[in-house]
This record gives sequence, C-alpha cells and structure tokens, in this order.
Amino acid sequence: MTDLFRNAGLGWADYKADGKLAALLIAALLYLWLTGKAKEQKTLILYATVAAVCCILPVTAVPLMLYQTKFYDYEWIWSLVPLTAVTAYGLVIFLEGQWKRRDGRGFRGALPVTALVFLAISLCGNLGGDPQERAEKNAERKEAIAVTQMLLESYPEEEICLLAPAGILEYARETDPRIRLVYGRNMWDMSLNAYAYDTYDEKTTELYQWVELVEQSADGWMPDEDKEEILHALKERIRDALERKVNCILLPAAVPSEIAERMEAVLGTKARTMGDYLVFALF
Amino acid sequence: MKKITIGDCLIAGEIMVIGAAEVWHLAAVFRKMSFTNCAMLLAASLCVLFVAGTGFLIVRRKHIFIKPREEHSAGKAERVLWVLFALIVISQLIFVGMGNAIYRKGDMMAETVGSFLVSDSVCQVNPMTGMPYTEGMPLRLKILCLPTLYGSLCKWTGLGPVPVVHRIVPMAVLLSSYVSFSVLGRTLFPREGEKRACFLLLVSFLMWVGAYRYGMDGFDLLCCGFRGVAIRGSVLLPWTLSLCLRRRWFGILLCVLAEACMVWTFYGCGMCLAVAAGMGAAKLFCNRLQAGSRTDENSAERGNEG
Repeated sequence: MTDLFRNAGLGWADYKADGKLAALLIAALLYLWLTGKAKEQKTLILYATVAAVCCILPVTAVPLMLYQTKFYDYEWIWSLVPLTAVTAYGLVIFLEGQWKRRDGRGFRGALPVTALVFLAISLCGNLGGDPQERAEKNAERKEAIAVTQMLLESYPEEEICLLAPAGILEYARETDPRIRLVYGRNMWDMSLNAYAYDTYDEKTTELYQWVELVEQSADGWMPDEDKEEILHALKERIRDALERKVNCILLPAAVPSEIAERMEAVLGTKARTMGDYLVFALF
Repeated sequence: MKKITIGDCLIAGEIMVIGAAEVWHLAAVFRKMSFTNCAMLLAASLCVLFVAGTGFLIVRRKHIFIKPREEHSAGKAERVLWVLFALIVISQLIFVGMGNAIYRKGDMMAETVGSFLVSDSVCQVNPMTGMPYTEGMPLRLKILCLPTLYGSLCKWTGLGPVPVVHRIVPMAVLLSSYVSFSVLGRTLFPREGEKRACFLLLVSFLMWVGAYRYGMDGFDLLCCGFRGVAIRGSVLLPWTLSLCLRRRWFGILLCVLAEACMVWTFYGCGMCLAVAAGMGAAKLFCNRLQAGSRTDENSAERGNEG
C-alpha cells in the first residue's frame, strides 16, 4: 500500500513534469467555473473537475489505481479525465468570447489572442514527441531488421533458433515470426512478463548476461577480468545455448579475435561475416 | 442533441466488429480452432454484419441522415476551420502511416499476431520466443480479441503483421477517434457548426501537442494506436461521454463490453463504466442542485407574495 501511495505521489509529479496539458486542463476548468460558463455543460465540467482532482490527490488516486488493476501505471488513471475534450471545450468557449467581443472591430483584436492561444497550447507539449530519440530508435530498428533479413535470405530453408545481442532480438520476431528465440524482449522489458506465466530459468538469464557482455567487448576497451570471464564461461554458455536448441548465434564482428576463435572451436563451425556481425550457424 | 447520427452508427459498427472478433477468438481459444478457420468465420460474420448494418441504415435513414435544410450552410470562417482541421488530420495520417514513431515498450501485439499466423493457432505459442507456452498465460489476457482481429486482417489482405498492426490499424483508429470526437462535438454544440469545427480543430491540435508522453491521448493515438487502451481512450471514451450527455444507455453498455474485450480491466469493469458512473453521479448532483435552487426560488416568490 505504501508503494501505491508513493507511486501515486511520484506519478503526478512525473505526469506534469514532461508537458503541461494537465495544467492547461486546470486552466480551462478554472476559466469555465470562474466565468460562470460551466453551466451550459455543467455535468461534463463537474465530472471532469472531480475526476481531475481525484487523479491528482494521492488519497483518491490510489483507489483508482487499484480499480484499473496494478498492471497499469499511474498515468492510465488519467483515462478517467476527459482531458482533451474538456480542454478543447474550454478553449472554444474562451475563443468564442474573444471573437464575439470584437465582432464589430474585425479580426484585429481576436486574431492575436487566437494565435496566442495556439502558441500557448504548443508550448504545453511538443508536436509529435522527441524527433532525435525517434531517429535513434529507427536507426537501431532498421539495422536489426536488415541483419535479420540477411540471415533469413542466407538460410531460407532452415528453422532458425537465434541467439544474438538484445538489439537484434528486439526486432527479430517482428521481422519474421518464424524465427525462434531462447529469450525474447521480455528479458529486458519486464512489463512484458505480465502477459504470461512463463519465466526464464537461471541458465537462460546467465546466457543473456553473457551475450550482453560479449557485445560490450566489441565496443572497444574492456577490463582484462571481464574478457577472462567471457572466455572462462564461454564453453558452459554455448552448452546451455545448444541445450535450448539454438542453431544460430550472431555476435558483433568487432568482438576480440580470441572470443571468435574460441567460439569456432567450441561450435566446430566457421564464422561467417554478415554486415557488422559474425554468424555461427549450425545447420 | 438526442438523435442518432451517422457517427454513432460508425462507432457502433466498430464495436460490432470487435464483438464478432471476440466471439470467434473465444471459440478459437476454448475449442482449439485453427486460426485459419477463425479468420474465415470472422470474415463471414462481418459480411453478415455489413449487410445487416446497411439494411439498418436504409430503414432508419430518415432518422439518421440529417436533411440538408436542417443543417445550416457553413460560413466562410467555418469552412476555414474545417480545412485547417482536415490538414491536421492528413498530417497525422502521414505521421502514423510512416510508422516511424511506434512505441512498443510493454506491448507485443505484432509478435502475437505473427505467432497466430505462423502457428495457425490462438494463444498456443509464446509470442516473445516462438516456443510453445510452458506455463500458459492469464485467462483475462487470453480472452482479449484484438490480436485475432488484426491477424484476420493479415490473413484476408496477405499483408504482414507489422504493416497491419503498426500502420493500417492506427490510421483507422485515428479516423475513428475523430468520428467519436465529432459526435461529442455535435452533442456539445448541436446547432453551432462553427464551434464544432473549432472544437475538432483544437482536439486535433491537442493530439499533436499531447504526443509528448506515454499515457497522453495524443501519444496513444499517434504512437500506439493499435493498443486496446488507445482505442478505449480515443474512440470509446469520447463516445461514452457523448452518450452520457444524451442519456443513451445502450450505447454505453456497448462501450463497456467492447472495452472488456480489448483491455485488461478490473474484472471487466473498465474506464468506460467508471466514466459513465461518474457522469451519472455528476448529472444526479446537478439535477438535485437545480431542483434545490428552484425550490428556494419558489419559496422566496411565495414569501414575497405573502
């Protein structure tokens, strides 16, 4: 229960930190109530006010979070608040007042106010999210899809069970659902574990951690102890992978040569270069 | 506004589609029907629904379609507002259609649809790994029908799960959302076309601006429109509000059921029910307040007469 109260308190702080649409809603509600313009749609405005207050106060937010099941985070209780509809309604009423008041005097008075309103709205959030973050994600996605497709084109007849760094596995099943994985996105995106009772055993988790460590070794300098750890655990991890029916391992081409050579020796296969990756295929 | 509009019919039609998908999804889950058969039966059901819906529209056309003389002619300002609104919607459709802003965290819809198609079964394979489930999945999640509906779309069109789930469905949801908001706009401003156009323009602009954060209406609509929560937030809830204001209880029941078929809710009591209950309570309170003030006015008048 304490956790829920903390989440509710922090949730509101977080909710209003990123953008200010909640503040705009409060401004719209205040305008409607204080100018007496709420009476035309009193039911909707009263409901929106009470719902917004209930979402803001932790004491009332907690029962709402329990109601929507703990599966959903704090922000989803705001579904109860008709934020977009009521904000838009309040703004329409405000703008109507501006245009009516200046009806006789033409556009000159109301147009700047309208422009200011739209400017204020656009300052409350951002148009279409963060483009840089989106571009980075898309680049990662494109690379993962390209590598997976190359793999599928190289082994069109095979039923691939793939072991690869998280960046590739993230999109592998989306690229082609025929590909099987030892572990999927739910290994690093914990919220996905709510969709199934299946869990990963300790060996599979160790395998994931080992592959991530190998990927880090390809990024450049790595302490000797970590490199030693990779080589030391290599045989055991490969055995675990084969026990889980892995028949294709993908590692960054920039991994230290001793790791690639040891892999070839343990698997008894020659690595093949595919873009920025090495493929160890057991077909 | 008490009348049923074409917008109401469209949203109700969508809910019927969800209902049909739910029926065949449940049949596939509990009777272990193959996904191919499930998609075929769903297609047949939708054909029947389409014929029935068209028949309904023809029979009730006088009540549903607004006659031109009832509808005022749009002025210059209103036309400008409609054009601006259309431009924003088109820009959003392009944004969604490009599929560059998909938010997948905590969601595995595309993988689930892909698993249905590859394994030709429903909920038998773990979408994350492609391996059969060892422990299974929660029953409340198992009965959610959207993967079956999207998978069936893939089957009928021959498209892959990604274009259907990440592009086509969010575009359809975006348009449905504006239908829903347009019905709400018509309820709020029944005889003022200009205000309705302004309302929709502001809604569409708020959607753009609200795309900054997960959980905001704009973000759900533009970055993950295929999710049940996005359909609920941007299609069902605005319609529920409109229905509550018009006291059309049957429609509200449809929304509650549709939400239960799409979203993991608290024993089926989701946000639509909570919103309807809240609106009902607010209405009751307002009525009491009005009745109270009338009684006060009457007694004051009587006092003055005395």
